[in-house]
Amino acid sequence: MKKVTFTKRPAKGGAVQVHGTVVSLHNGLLLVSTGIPSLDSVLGGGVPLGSVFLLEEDVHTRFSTLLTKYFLAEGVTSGHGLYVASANANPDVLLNALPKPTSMSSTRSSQQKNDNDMKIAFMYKDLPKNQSSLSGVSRYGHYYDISCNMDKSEVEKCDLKSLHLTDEISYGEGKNDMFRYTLKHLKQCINNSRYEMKQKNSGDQQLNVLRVVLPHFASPLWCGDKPDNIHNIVRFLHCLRAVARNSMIACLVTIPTHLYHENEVAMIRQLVDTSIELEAFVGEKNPVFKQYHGLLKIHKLPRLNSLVNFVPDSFDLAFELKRTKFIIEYMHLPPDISETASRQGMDETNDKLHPRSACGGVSLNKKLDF
Amino acid sequence: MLEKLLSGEETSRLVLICDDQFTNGSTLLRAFARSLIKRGCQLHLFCFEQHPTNFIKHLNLHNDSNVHVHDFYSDPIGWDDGDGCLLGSRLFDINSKINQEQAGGSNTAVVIDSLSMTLQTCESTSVCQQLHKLSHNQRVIQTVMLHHTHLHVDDVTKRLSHISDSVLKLNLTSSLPKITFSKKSIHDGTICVTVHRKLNGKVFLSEEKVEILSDSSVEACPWQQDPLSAQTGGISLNEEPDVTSEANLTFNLNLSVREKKERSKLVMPYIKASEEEKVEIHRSTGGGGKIFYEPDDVDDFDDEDPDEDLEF
Repeated sequence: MKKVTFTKRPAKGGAVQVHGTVVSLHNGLLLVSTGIPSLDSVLGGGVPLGSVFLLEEDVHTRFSTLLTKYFLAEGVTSGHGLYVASANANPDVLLNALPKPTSMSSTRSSQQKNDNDMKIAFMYKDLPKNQSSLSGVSRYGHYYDISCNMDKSEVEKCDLKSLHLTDEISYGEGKNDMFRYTLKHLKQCINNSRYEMKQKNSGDQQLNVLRVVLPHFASPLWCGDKPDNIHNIVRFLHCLRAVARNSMIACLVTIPTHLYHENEVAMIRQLVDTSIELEAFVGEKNPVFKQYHGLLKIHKLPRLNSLVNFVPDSFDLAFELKRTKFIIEYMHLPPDISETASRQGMDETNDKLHPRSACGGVSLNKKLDF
Repeated sequence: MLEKLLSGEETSRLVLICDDQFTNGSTLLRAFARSLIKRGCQLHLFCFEQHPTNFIKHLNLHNDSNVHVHDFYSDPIGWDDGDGCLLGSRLFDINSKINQEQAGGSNTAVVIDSLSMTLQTCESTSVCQQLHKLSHNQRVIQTVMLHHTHLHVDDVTKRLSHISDSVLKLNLTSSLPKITFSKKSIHDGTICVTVHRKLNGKVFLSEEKVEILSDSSVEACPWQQDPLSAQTGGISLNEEPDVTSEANLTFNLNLSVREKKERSKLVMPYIKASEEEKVEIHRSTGGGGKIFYEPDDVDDFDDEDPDEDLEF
């Protein structure tokens, strides 16, 4: 049958095609999804390959652990390799509790129905169909259900590498060599594998992305005895960025920055490419924040090969966790309907709980109200 | 939440009790120790700040065979060549000691009277690492520690809170406990602010007023800060009720309940007028005047009708 003119031409030499990645619309970099579509849109499409993404943890690490899980789960659905190095808990604990992708089963059934349906547009029957998640690797950005865990078989299909830093491993002299050991281990995993960007593409190994995750990095468990821990952390991040630039990896590092001094946090932020901070609400009584679970603050956005980085519409972002979605929204002022807008003197009890004042200051209980 | 933690309903591997110079956390620590023994645990007690017999006396136990005492109080610098020497950080042999001592038992709990001495001799990060290892020891079901926040830098408290599953902070009810200008003093109770992190990550915050009885049992009831006292910062400068400027007026500015009811019944003038207008519009379609004109012979009959009001 004669082919229609608009068939997709295969990419001619040079273009790197890796599944689970997308070319950025802003600067042409290869991006990988964070596992949360709304976070991807805030970052300008996703995390660029070869960059270090810093997630500054919320105080109780509830949401940062969740974001790490989403990142790893996205790696599994896209068929990427995973690397986890943790000093806190066994990485297998994290890998066994990944959320399950939501739309996998539903598209499978609908796909089979449409096979012989084309009676009018029969010319298009031979064309490759639209990407579905059956192949599992071509769609970008998936939704996950945190109440169910991903099948172990799915996780094991990926290339998993983990490193649990405990006392049993001998690092060398001094605890500071924990950082050096981790770097060495990571380099060993990347060398001569499909994650390395070689000069000549030998063609036998298809390039793939390795997602490197360092949960709870720089927590008190990583740091040695000396008070100049920050220098070791900074040096590590510098080397990590160098390793990242030369390979097909996307790093996610989570650091509890609330434990560090402002200057130290500024130094850390300087050495990463993207930095966002989560601030979770615990017992928050402000009505503006009622539907949200926390605030998302953007401190740095990637600017790898351009002069100007992507800027989202607004920097006032808040997030909400639902069972099947993690939503990030722009915060806007609610309509100005005061809760205590009532006639003078009608609600005296209400006055005592929410004292109103004309100039917006907190006032003592005034008896004369004009 | 506090009672759930005490009874073991809520599992928490590492409990940190924070007190300061105004509150006393050792009574709460004793309450935890007592409930752990009641649950049948082998208790390892590390005493730094009071003599172990003193601690145990207040627990009111029938037999103290379940309590293993590690005495770091009597001889901290090792003058008597005792076992309980702080130098060389002997505290950190806990893990190995626990793994050695019991072949079969898996119900061990650790109570540390105070972390202050250890934090003064060792780096806080290494203390955190050791405590983390202890909390992840399979045999230990719970570790309870007392921490004096006023003796250490904020950073240390933050780091300890970061590795703990539950943090119990003891405060007084009034924010300025000592300064009261009035004759009547505000009753100072102890509030416990609990931040508990469950295993699945969810965080719970609760504020409760705590009373610890003499037999180390705890009564806790939920407490909400009184908004009036919160505004004035707990200081009541004037106990006389309601000093107002109304006192000098000769007329009353407020309405009584009856007067308010009357006011709500009152119909406003604009309401009345609009209702009347509605009635008038309905009536006006039937009325209006008519002119009957019969022309005389002498009259000029003008064909024009400039005003257009004549009917022909």
